[in-house]
Amino acid sequence: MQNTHTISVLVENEFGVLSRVASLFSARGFNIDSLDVAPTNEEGMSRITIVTHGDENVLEQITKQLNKLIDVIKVIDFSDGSCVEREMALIKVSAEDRDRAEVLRIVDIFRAKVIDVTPKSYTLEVTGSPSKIDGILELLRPLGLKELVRTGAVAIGRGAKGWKG
Amino acid sequence: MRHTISVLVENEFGVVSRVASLFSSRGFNIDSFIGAPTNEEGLSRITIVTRGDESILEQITKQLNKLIDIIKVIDFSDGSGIEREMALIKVAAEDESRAEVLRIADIFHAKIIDVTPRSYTIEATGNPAKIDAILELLRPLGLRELVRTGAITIGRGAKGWAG
Repeated sequence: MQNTHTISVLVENEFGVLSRVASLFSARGFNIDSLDVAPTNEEGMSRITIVTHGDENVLEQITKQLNKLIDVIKVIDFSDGSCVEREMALIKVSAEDRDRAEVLRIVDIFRAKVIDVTPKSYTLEVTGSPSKIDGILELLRPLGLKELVRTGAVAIGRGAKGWKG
Repeated sequence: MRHTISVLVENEFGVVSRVASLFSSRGFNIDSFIGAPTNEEGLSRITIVTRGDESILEQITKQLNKLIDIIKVIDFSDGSGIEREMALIKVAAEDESRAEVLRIADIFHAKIIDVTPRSYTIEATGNPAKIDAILELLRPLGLRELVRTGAITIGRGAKGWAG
């Protein structure tokens, strides 16, 4: 079964942990859709969020191997959807003449922000679930996308508890 | 010195770990690292925030340019880009502190994306310093969990990276 999986990995900030984690996936032919690494609230700890798709059994193997890596503190599999998933995108879109108003209407509907303006373009910041980002991109694409930078999805568990429980 | 670098790469297996290991093998610590698809089919964009010696970074940039999967390297260290980050923040919120959390969220134009009787989960965006500022205010109230995306950067002006 080819499913999309979102996995969070809490790791110690050691040199090279990122490439070790990434190569665990690539060595098994698992393509990474997106990958995010950034510090957490705990000193010396980073969180890696990986969105990937592929066979469930192979993913289980990868998760087991991740757990064996010495720098890995915890692996959280959000594939069951028990989380809030969000992504941010910065979008530079052509906006001349009549298109300017249309871009601003789309911005308004998606509650996006304009973060840079030129006489020929707008640069937008938009957040939401990855499918919402896809939605605004679909509307803006015919107007002329000049540049797109996405963060890839990050996920946080629902409820009051943190990852430590 | 802090450096922000964007790398446009072809979606090949293993390119992420190759780029990451170029940094780690030289003892360059990566503050944050993002790889995600772009508008062009088959093309991904990696944004790296790192700290370290300028001349070593120049070496790394040269080596990045030699990797076969790499289409373009953009160095935003001169501040010519717009930098943004998103954070999902789960903060304890009981009794009186509930109103205070909402006030802080309001001031930072943050959104509440999950609620329980004892906590709020907040989505905040802005430059990394703004994220640091809201975290500093929320920390005394009790941070339960924090997920940051790391910074992404886009050039100013009307032109895209392809020029």
